[in-house]
Amino acid sequence: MRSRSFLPVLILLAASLAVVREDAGADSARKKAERKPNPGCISCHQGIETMHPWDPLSCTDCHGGDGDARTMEAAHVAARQPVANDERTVGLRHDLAYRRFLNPTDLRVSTEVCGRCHESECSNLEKSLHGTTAGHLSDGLYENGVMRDKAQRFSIFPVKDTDGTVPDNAYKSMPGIPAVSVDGDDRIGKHFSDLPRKSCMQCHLYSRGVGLRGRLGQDGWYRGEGCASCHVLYAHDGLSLTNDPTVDKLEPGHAIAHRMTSKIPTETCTTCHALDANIGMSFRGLGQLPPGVPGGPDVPGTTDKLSKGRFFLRDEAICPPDVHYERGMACIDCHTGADVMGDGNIYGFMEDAVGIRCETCHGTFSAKATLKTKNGGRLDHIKIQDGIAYLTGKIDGKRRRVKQVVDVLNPRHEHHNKRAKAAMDPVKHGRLTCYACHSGWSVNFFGFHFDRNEAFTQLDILSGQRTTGRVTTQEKIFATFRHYYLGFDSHGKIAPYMVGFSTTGSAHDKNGETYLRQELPVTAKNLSGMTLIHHQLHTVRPAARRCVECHAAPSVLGLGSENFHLFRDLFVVVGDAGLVVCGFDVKSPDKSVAIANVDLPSLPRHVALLNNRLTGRAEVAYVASQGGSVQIVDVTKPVRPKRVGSVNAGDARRVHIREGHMFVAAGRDGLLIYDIKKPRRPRLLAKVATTEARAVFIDGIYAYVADGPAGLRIVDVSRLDKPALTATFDLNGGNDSRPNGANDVLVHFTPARPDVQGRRRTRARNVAYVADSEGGLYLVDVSRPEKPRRVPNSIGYGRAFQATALAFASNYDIGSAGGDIVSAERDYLYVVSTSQASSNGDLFKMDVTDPEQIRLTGRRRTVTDPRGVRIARVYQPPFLKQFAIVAGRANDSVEITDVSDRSNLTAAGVVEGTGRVVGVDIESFPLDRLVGLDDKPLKDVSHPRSRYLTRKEIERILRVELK
Amino acid sequence: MRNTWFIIAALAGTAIAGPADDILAARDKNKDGALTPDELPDPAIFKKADYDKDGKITLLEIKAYLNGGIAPAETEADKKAQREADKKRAAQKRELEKKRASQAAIVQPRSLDERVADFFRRFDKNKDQKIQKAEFQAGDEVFKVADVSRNGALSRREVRRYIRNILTEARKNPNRGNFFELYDLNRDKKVTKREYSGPPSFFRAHDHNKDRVVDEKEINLGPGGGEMKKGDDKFLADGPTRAPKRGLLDRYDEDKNGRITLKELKGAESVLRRLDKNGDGVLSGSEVR
Repeated sequence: MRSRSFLPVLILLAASLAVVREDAGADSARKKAERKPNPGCISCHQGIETMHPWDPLSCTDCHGGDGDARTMEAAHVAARQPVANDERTVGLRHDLAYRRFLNPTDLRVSTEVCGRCHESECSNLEKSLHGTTAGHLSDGLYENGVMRDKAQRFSIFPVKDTDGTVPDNAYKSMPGIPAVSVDGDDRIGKHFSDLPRKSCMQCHLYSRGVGLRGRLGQDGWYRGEGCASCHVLYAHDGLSLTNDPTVDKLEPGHAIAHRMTSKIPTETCTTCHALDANIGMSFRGLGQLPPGVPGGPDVPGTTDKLSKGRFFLRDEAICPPDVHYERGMACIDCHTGADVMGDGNIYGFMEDAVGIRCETCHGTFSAKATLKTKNGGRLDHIKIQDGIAYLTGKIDGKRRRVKQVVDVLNPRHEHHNKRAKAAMDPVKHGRLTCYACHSGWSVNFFGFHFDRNEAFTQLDILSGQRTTGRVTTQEKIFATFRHYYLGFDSHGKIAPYMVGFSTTGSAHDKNGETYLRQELPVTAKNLSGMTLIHHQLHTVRPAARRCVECHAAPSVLGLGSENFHLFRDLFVVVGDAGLVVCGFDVKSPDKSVAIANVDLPSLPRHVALLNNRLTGRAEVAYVASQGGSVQIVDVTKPVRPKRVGSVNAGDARRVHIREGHMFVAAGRDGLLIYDIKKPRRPRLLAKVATTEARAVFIDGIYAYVADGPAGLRIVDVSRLDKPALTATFDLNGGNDSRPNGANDVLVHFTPARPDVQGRRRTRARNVAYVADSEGGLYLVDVSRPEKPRRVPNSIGYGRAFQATALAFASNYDIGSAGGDIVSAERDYLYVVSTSQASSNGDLFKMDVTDPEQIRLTGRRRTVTDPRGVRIARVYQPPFLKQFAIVAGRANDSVEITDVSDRSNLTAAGVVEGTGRVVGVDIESFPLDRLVGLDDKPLKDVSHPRSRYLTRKEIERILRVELK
Repeated sequence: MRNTWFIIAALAGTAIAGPADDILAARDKNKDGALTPDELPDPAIFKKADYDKDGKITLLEIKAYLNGGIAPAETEADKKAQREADKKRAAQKRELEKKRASQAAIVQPRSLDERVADFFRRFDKNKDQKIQKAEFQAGDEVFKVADVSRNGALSRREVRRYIRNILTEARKNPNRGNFFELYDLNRDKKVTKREYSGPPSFFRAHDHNKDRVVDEKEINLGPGGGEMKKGDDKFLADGPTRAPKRGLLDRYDEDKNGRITLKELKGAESVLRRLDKNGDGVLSGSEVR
């Protein structure tokens, strides 16, 4: 009875299910029938590839239009608001039907098209960093003082997060970047704000950038827009191989084929992630060549093919590719979909948006990989089998074993590495990112320069209007592929730092006249905007950096070097005319002039300038004088230098100024240390006994004293009020019965080159160069200041070489077009010396790139009895030039020598009316000095949770004993 | 002859046979011109050859013995040789005595214990083996540094540590003030190379006459050598600089109109731009003064 009562229900249910299934099947079949390519479209586009093979769609499903029409005009969607075919980015609501027709993946319409199936991806992409380019736009605006707040972020178009909770490190919304009126403004930051909308806007997802369809010569720039930016591939030359007969195969700016892919190669990413110090270059082992450096098929160490209008550096000895690239991996093998397309939150900073970490795949010191990103994403193409991790390449399908850190540390494992075990100690190095040690090299273009000329107009990419001011942003001042910097990232880990958007800038008025020249930006916190920012350099190498490269390198930790000092405009000399302020004409050094002088109450011996921390311009001159004093001269007004005080300073020979402090080498009266926070009232802090202190140089937490007959003396000045003698080094080794004659000293850290093809990293060391009137030039390895030793194979050059003063400047030498003279980054030491036989002076230029093989590359007769030398690094766009200004006895003038060429030192000018001089110093701005001796930051950081190392932290690192 | 051969046999240990001079030269270890019993170990021969029983066998006695025991006539040459040998012996003796005397005069450096004892003698007035702050008269800073335990009194151990640190530092960094205190061991106001144990470069720098001794005069002279050329400042007049004060107008205002154009500034465009505050392309007013 019961069964009979249920049966009709069951039959009914079965019948209804059958109907449902039948309906679904019919519906699916109908849908499948509809998704065939539209016959009307195919009648012209015969042979066109299937764009979306995973789930076939009809043409009109994506493009709209009339798929049955037989004429183009009827089939296509016409433009209702035509726009010029240029880089402009039209508004979000602009002619949407037409935009959809042109490119259904256009972000303006993608939500309706792609979003029908890929709803979350499309929604996330709009809010992602790729969609907003927030960092790209905003960092530079903060660094130039335009934005007051680091947290403030702009997007290309306004964007809001309305779909749920907003994490603390994300934004609820972002405004679109505004246009700013800047003409005639005397603040360089204001001029910078014209850049994003004219220059930076080339790279975002709402347009194709400069690689427009039909535009020739944009090889390397051709790409799609919207989702197609990544998912549709373009050839380097922008030419298509499609079967679609309607596509002009000779016209650049077309996709390779009408097909989407999820196997996105690195070359697609680097269409935008390219140029300057970009990770896209570094990952592939490429570097942008400094201005004037030749490249091309005839030049070894450079690419053979033009890309983005230029050749690139490709030299494994300098910039080898990232090991992941070497092993055949692509960007997408590490970066997840969430990294690239966003996770639905609006992040302002890359470190928040990117979830992949080294630990995700390689594990940590104590545990194997979790395969989960920082943001909770999971890497599905890595599997752990029997304790071994394997990654299957997303593009090549190849299976690769992924080393685990715990295995490297395990003495019983085949991957064990003893040296790694010694270094990878959580107590010692637990606060470092993996790539702080494993970055093989770093590229920095210090003093990156932009130019804005109001005599011309340029397209504002967002408004589509041509507005006043043409901007150029590709000018480099300094270029280095060797120097390296560290600081704290926004997760509290020590990471590499590199030059970001910090730029010097020049502006020209409507007549083309320069009214702002190489101005330096200042942030809202009244700190220099010439900043560095932490970065995953994408130059990972198997061999880590050696201990000495951090623990003996004050410059790496933020204390700066003698390199990368940008000359401003003036220099001062001292002599029998007192102190004379001179103007150096950067355009034509032969037109340099003396400006004004002021008498001094006693004969001067040496001068050092206190330069402004933000502008590099001279403020106060400290003049070591006979009679036991340092005279203080206010030079803020160059036309009227004024003596404002003095301080007793023993037998003052030379002065060295570092952030708030003055160090006086005072002969037999020792080394005197003063606090000059009040520049006109130095306060003696401490005194160190010496034999005959003639010069002093501060490097890190040590003072290096050229102590005359006693040689080199090293004093720990970490406590400036309680300096302590660390070591004394007898330069001529004690074998010679003659005493030493150490006259001058400077210290420079020689960086290492990366490991390549089984070759280890080259040697890095901290070297003290000592000018000695008895032995010439000595090189002392002070990587361990408590145990200085002679650099092997370095030679004294002998008594004929009575070196009196030193200066240092690296340079990227420009080689010959044929490549027979190689372009290279080299370190140069400039030595002035008096001939023993006569009073004739010489300027020597020595290549000290390898301290064990120093070479004399240039020599020039200079002023009689030279006592001082300074190298002015002058930016004459587009080149960086070097001029030596030598102080010496001469007839009422100072000579300027062009030392830019490796070997050919030539006269560049003479400044008359200076009197006979004994000392010289220049205005300059140190670009790589991040923290001062007084523990105050010298540069700002544009990311709110990031910071440079403090003095205390730096000291702790430098004090680690090296074995 | 038999005697000769007997002597030869007795002296066989030296494997020397020959005339008296050769024998003496071969056996006279201390070169005093005579053979002593330890130099001629055969007592029988020694007794026989020592004619004058003075405990030594001279050249003459050797000759006599070789001569069959008959002392040869002492020739003038022999006498002269003997005198010279005696003189030489006397001179050697004097030198040795002098050396011993000079060595005896070197005062061993004061040991750390002696210095500590001195310290307590000076300051521990109440002899309680501790130096209270009130007893210490050499400066608060020194007391503070030495009083490691911070209990207001210096123990023997603290004083010892303090002095040892001072000596270590001073030896690394000698100067005029501590030089003789540290290194003049025999207190003769001179420090020889032998006495000196500090950094070699300091000694070299002050040994002006290169006689391997640094005296008071030399230490007061200061370090020498390796200097920049003497008279390096002679080209400058003595005293303060007295150059005429010359500003921009003095130097470049050719038409004396109180303004400086780019042309007058020799075309130094960037210099003009730096000084041109009001941007009018000319330097005037406060821009030139």
